[in-house]
Amino acid sequence: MTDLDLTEQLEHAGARTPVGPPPLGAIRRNVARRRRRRGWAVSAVCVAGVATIAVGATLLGPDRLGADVAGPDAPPPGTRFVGLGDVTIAVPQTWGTDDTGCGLPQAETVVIADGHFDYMSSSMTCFVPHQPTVDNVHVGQGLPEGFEPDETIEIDGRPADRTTATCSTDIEPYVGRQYCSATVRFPQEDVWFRVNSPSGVEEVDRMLDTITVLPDLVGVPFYRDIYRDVPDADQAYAARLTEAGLKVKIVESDERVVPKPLPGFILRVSPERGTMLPPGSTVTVTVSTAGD
Amino acid sequence: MDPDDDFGQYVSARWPRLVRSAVLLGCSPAEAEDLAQSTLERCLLKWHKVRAADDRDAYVHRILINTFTSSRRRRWIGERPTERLPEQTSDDCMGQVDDSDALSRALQRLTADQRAVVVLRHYSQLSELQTASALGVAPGTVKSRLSRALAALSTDPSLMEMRGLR
Repeated sequence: MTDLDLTEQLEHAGARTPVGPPPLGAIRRNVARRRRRRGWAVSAVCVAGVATIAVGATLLGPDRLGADVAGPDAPPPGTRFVGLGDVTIAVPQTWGTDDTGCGLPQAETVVIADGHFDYMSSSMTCFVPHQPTVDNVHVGQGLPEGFEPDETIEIDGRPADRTTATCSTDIEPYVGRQYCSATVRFPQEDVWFRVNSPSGVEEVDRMLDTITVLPDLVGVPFYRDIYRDVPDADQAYAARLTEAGLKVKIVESDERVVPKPLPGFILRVSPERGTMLPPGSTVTVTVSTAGD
Repeated sequence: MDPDDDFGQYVSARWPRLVRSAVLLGCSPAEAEDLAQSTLERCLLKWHKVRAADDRDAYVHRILINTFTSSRRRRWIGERPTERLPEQTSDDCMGQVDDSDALSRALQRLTADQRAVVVLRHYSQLSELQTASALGVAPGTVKSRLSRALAALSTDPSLMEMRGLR
């Protein structure tokens, strides 16, 4: 069969299917409806955060506000992007990162789930009698605990596994209070987002609707899976940054660390993990010299 | 040009071929229209990205293929065993007679990857590079898949029989 024969036969076969006019009106209506849903989420975020944005901007600094991102990849107003690779979720600008106590969110926050902090195993030494129930977004790699997806969806052309948003009043340590959550995991990119909210499934779905793919940006990689137990973790992390297309600047600090750390112990990175940056941006890694 | 007008013009020009591409990929005509509509809705949501893409057609076809793959996966999950087969089956939706029917059966015997390459290259009129971009594979992979698909089609019994009847 020649190329020409095949093209001709496919044209012939295709022409046998009658096609009506394009449903432009329906397409525009459906998209407008989806945009409105996203808009409501952003509006709610703006209203909740308007009183604290000015203070937050001063305290958090440009890294946390995602000020590096501009143009078509800019986050919706009042939000910042957090993610890994080129997959992101929009969270309110006023949220911090890892505002946790005993591994549990203490205020509305993004939790970078790279530290393997286990609430149950630490609860004996980390007893807190009453945990607040607050909106929070976890971002992680690998398989999230208890993940059993209900459907495969597609976001910006990428397949993702998603659980249905559900609420429960039996979740430790929030027993007796409503806590709702759902998770979206991108298997190819190995990144997942879990939204938790005491407000209801609608709020969870609204936040998950802000997940998007930004091929022109890259998330600052995670490091807390290696920083404590691996010698020369700074070098291993520098390799991750380079692989992600980011530049590395290592700064040494002699601030005290207990117990005495391994050489190359990472104290912090700036911008924070999960911040979306254009490739080629520099990430500063502060390394402890206390173990040297 | 206003983005809205731009989108409208794009849809008007590409709609029939997108629907028929979906049919050739294995959809029923109704499914094909739904698939094309879902694809274009996703494109409109990110139209600024589609407009900025180096190759708009490759971008749109990538969404089409991904949406198609997702829909097939969902449908497979939804299948349940049954004691009795339905009385009438509709193998495919490309037409009921003669050449089209033979071609339909031949396409069905290809792997999903091979079928997608054949449809994108020979019906959607995408170049090798565009096809590679739409499928998220290397151009060399497009070449090898297409080569294997054409070899399979050239020895396909339905198409051989059809050629023998001429």
